[in-house]
Amino acid sequence: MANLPLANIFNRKTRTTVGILAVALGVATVMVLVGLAQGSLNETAQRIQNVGADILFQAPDASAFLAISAGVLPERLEPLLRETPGVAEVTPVLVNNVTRLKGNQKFVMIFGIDPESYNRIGHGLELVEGRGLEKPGDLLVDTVLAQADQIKVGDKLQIMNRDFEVVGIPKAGAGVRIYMGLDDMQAATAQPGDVSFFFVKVKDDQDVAQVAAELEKRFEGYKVTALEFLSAAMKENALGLKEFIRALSLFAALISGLVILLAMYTTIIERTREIGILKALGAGQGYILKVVMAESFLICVMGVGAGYLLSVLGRSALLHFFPTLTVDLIPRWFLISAILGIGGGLLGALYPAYRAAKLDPVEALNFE
Amino acid sequence: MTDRPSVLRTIAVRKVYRTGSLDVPALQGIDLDVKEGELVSIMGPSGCGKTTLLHILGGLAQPTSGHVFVDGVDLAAISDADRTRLRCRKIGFVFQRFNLLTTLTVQGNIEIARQIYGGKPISRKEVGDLLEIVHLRHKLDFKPLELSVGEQQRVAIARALVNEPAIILADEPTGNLDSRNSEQVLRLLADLNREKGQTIVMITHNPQAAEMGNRTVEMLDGQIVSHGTAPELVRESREARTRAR
Repeated sequence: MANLPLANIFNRKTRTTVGILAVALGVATVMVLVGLAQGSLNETAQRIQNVGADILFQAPDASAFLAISAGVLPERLEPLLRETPGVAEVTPVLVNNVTRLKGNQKFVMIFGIDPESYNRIGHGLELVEGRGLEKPGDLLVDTVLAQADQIKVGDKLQIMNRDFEVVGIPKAGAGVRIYMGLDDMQAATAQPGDVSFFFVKVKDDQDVAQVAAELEKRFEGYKVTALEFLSAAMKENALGLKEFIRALSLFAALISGLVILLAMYTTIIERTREIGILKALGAGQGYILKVVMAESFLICVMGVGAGYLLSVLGRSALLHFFPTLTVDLIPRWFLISAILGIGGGLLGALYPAYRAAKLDPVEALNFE
Repeated sequence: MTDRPSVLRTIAVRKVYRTGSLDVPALQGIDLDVKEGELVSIMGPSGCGKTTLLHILGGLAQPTSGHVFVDGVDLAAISDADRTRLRCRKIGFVFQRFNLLTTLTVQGNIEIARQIYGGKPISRKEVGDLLEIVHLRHKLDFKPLELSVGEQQRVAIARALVNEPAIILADEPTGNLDSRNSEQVLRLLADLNREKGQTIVMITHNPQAAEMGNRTVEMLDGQIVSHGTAPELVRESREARTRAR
């Protein structure tokens, strides 16, 4: 049977392409930006989990975002933590961030660690080049950052107004991208004797939840997080993340809706006569509404498909140009962005469709 | 013809267009009765209200006052949706500008009329058979703009016939055609009327077209000024022109 929406789509290529691109842009924007926000969180959480510890021990009311932790815990808590039943190993970490590296703007989180206990806590730092932290002024830069910023063993870097020498390149994927000795970090940040948090390793035969409960009991008010829940905790703690995603979704739906509205409105004006013909043939308002909405729906569906493709391409481009970023294209968001793209598009098409349905047949037939 | 039932009837139909604060009368009390199987030609100078009358007869426009009966149904007494349904079931339009949907093929243009009608989908063979009537079976897959103007009008006629309407309303069907194509289209309409008993109301400026009809209605300034058989009126019109010279 004759399919007018499909025929119009294929015969009005420019209008169709603009509509598809608009929806695709909305879908891809949501997919990539949400993927970037959640991917960065997931990747950070994953890297912290890959350190090999079981529990994160933090000061009361501390954020799950380690990057905003300061030296708020006394280092002398370490022996007390070790005495807790079920605890196998404890290592202190002092965190700081720099926003400039090798003269370039860049946000990088740095761990000040005690190399011996840090390596015992889990898999340790797997060096692919050079050696570990042995003396003051030593610095480790992971493979991703080293490759992105062309840093190699032996390079001198000035960080926090202090001179460091890159002595090793650990494999990326666990912890952070830059490590220095705990003493160096305490000195550089003027926080002697303080740390940001402790990683705790539980004995093999002990239950992590039980040890965590014991720690909570012994250190009342302190924040104890089993690392397997860190990703969820970070998302829960992410300031404004939900609002950001909501705003982004609304923005995408708005783009799709507005462009489809414009495209369909222009189409309705351009096709006024055609609508008059349909009415002369006996088409009622419902039929006209259905034709316009079906056409918009098809454009939206194609736009969503193109949006998925654009998301994959956009992700590849981002990772190519910014290798330290992480963009997770989340399966659930494929569905959400499709609903946003199609929903926004259909909402945008409603008014033009309504106008078309309401057109006076004689005026429409006389339209030049 | 007089003993046949009326398929189209108007009683004191008036139509006034409002332009700003000005009322412009387009039709001033039209009484017309079209019997089943008649071919009625409506003639008259431009602006005399012929097309407005045709639109009102087809339910595309509403009269300011008066009544229009299509197959016995008073259009003023039914809802807009019912008027649309009635138009779909009882009336086929043929326009001067053909009004085919250019994005669809010839087959698509015919199919869509059936789709709107809501009946059983028409098969490709049935479309072909219908196009055979207008001698265009071989143009089934062509787009309207790939056809000559005469062919486009013949497709429009086939489209008007697809739902077997009681009445065909044709608004200057030869207005955009050369003489050869005009003759073909007129012959086609005359054959439909003669062989299939199709009721046709046709607006025309073409005396040859008017001569084909059973009856010719002449309009002037929104009023019917004469009824008669086509040959009589055409003859009178010629004589009037001769006297004027």
